[in-house]
Amino acid sequence: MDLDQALALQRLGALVLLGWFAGRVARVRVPSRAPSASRALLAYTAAIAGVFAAIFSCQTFWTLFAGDLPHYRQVERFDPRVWQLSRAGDRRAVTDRKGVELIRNEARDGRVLRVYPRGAETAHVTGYFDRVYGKSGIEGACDAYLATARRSAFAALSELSQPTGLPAPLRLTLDVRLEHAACSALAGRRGAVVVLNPVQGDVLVLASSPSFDPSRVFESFPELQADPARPLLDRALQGLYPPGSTFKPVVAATALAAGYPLATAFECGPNGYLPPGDTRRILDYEAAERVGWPGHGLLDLPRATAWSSNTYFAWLGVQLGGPALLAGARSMGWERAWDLVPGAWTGPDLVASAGRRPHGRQKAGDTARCAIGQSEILISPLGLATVAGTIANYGTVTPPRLLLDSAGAGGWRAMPARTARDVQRLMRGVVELPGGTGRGLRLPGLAVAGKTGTAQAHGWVIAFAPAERATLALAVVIENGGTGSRAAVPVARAVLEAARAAGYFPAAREH
Amino acid sequence: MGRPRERWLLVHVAILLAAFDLGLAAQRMLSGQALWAGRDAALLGGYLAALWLLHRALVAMGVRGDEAIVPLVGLLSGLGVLVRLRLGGTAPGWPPGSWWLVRAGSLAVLAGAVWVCRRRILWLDAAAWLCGLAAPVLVYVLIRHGTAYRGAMFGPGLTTPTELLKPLLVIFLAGFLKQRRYAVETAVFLGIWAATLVLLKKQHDYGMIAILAALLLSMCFVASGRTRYLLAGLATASLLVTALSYAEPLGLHAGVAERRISAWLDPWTDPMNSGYQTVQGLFALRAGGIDGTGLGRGSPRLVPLVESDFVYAGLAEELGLLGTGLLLVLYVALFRRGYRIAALATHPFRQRLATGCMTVLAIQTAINVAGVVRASPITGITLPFVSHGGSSLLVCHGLIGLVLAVGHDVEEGEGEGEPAEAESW
Repeated sequence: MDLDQALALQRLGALVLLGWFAGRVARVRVPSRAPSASRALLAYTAAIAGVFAAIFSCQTFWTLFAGDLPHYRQVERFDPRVWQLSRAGDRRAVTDRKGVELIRNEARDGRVLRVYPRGAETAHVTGYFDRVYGKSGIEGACDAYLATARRSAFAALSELSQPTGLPAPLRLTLDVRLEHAACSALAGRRGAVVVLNPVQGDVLVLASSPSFDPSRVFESFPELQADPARPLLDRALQGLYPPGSTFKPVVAATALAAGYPLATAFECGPNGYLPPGDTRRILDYEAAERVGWPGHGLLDLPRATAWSSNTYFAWLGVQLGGPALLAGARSMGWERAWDLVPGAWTGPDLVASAGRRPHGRQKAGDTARCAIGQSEILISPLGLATVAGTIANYGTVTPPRLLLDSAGAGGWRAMPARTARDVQRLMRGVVELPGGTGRGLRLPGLAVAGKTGTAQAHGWVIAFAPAERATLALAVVIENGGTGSRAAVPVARAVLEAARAAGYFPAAREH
Repeated sequence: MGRPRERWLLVHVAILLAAFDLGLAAQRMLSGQALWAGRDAALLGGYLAALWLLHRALVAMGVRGDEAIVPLVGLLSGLGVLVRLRLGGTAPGWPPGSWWLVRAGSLAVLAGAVWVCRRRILWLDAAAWLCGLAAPVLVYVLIRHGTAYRGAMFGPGLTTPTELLKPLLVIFLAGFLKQRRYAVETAVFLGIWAATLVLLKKQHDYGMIAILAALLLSMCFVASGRTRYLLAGLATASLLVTALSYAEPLGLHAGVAERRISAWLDPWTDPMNSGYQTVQGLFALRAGGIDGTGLGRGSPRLVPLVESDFVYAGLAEELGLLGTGLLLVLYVALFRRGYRIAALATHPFRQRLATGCMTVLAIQTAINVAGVVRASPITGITLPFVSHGGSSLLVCHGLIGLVLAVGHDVEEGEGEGEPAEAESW
């Protein structure tokens, strides 16, 4: 029994004493003689009791349900109680899915400190906890749960059975082995990696680079804020980038769902495609790199996807029209601000920025550029990983979640399973077909499907594996790192290899 | 040997308060804070001794009647002592130890009121018009002396003379609501009330205005049995609040009342300023949860005015929903017992006087707690018996003393040789 639990017993005792006294008072007889009171006085006495009952129900509401009100949650950060970290055990530890500690308490020189053993690797997920600079990440989002001094006596006593005697840690869905692989592969470059389980929505990796040491925020916060590389920014959640060619699977899914066959063909010559009413031609990237390039010729959907033909997808996007294209993106959760820590727990932390899209009434030229992931369309790495996961999960969107012990939010179907299977095959072709832009993802013994992208010098890749029974979906972005296949694919490959070593693909076979 | 049940209940009060004090000391010891166990025990022991003396005095006076009221008041006031000990045992701005003297002194006031008024309470009936006239004069003199806010006059010490309005106007009402009155009398009566309320408005003492207005309507209802007084009161109050809540958005004069109402309706947009007290009070409620953090484990100092107006927030944090629920049960038990005494009285003045005293306390409690739990705007009045205070404590105990005096007369068999009164209304 720890101090908390002893004190919990004490306060239950105090309540019992008060109740006992109230009972004693109730048993004292009222003086003799029947009341000769007017009915008005009796009615008034009852009304007073009713007023107190109403006031108490108001108090009950604010005590128990205030946390459900957005207004209240907005101001909750002004509650200074959170900073009362005086004893060990006042705040829970946090672990990854295998029980590896991400945050623990450590006594040093008579003070209890929050220690982050994985340091910069998990800094954006754990966040920091500092008396001056506040709290972020899990420390902020799950603050009410982590602060054990605020739990009820019943909760404290129910944790008596904990083998360590300490309050139960908060378990996250992260896997530090994959997180380590992702951070090593990023190697300090500006970028982000998100890995999900597409079926359950478990977030396995949430890596943003460059990062910081959450234990040393107090000394380094001003420098971190002034750093032009913006290490405090959680690129995996808050970074918004144009998706480039990684948007093409969304276009393909929308077209297939709208009834276009896989064999839909378009002549992709060296002069690209001129959207109706526009003056700028949309060219394939080979046309810009190689003088005298003859063009792809007649392309169907699988080959256009594998070679990432801008000409083909710009044309296809214009055929579909802006509204249909954007409705397709929206149905896959494009505009959702994914909240990794569901409702009742949360502060404003660990919420992904919602993806942006142009309004649906733009000109054909804008639709064409949108279809190749340029123009006004933006997405966060977590958002794009969720899109990849939706395709891998046969068209059902599974909201990502970060808390291992809480049920995730319900998902929804974004496209027919048959369409999703077709898109899976298209993305498989990106890796397997000769000349496919995702050749770098070929791994012996593992069927990987993917799609690369490059937009405004940011390199993207999305992927999932094994292709038809995916246990893992990922998105990688490298800022200003060159093309997706050169910058992002090696990072994705490193993560996939680490996942294989960690046993995420038990029955993987080459298809 | 009189009042055995009271003695027995007071033993319970002593055990309860001692247990709470022990818990507080244990909590201090375990968390390594400064330990004032000896001093706390002495102060609490002194308070319990004063409570015992009160009981002995009532027995010596041969006072009869309800025996649960004194233990209930003793427990609530004892909780007030514990809150003061829990907050460090000193009252900032007060001479050392003076808060304890006020606690003990208010018990003496209770005993004194019983001693003076038993068997002689009808004298107050004769003085009713005098009390009524004294009320507006008192507020006017205070304003002339330049104490603009809540009548706090710092000349003779920390006193709030407007607290005296409560007994004055209760006596006035009890004396006035007698029989069918002439129109002139009613006009003068209403004029005195209006003058008092208007003068109080100058001091922005909205809590007192609310108490007095509710007192007037409740007494009219109880005396006449006509629901229209309560309905009219509710309608006027809600109309007034609605009108004032629109005053600020419409750019009209934004006075203290309007600001309080807008801070009540929307504390969220400015949580560090106008909504500060409301929001911090709600934080305390939420931090307490169902069973509280335990006495001594919360952070009541984060709530502004936690020793006086917002003491309920501090209690809710440390005793939780269950503890404060029981506290409200004790309050309601106290009020019911007071109203029972009123109901047993056969002389209408005694009945109205006891009703008025209990109504003042009940309304004050309801308004204070409602302000803390955001059921109404904050009005800046104290929680009877528990809150730290000077004049308000003395007056609350004095009102209980009047009720006990009525109870004594009722048990003695009132009405023998007393002038009868015409049936009221």
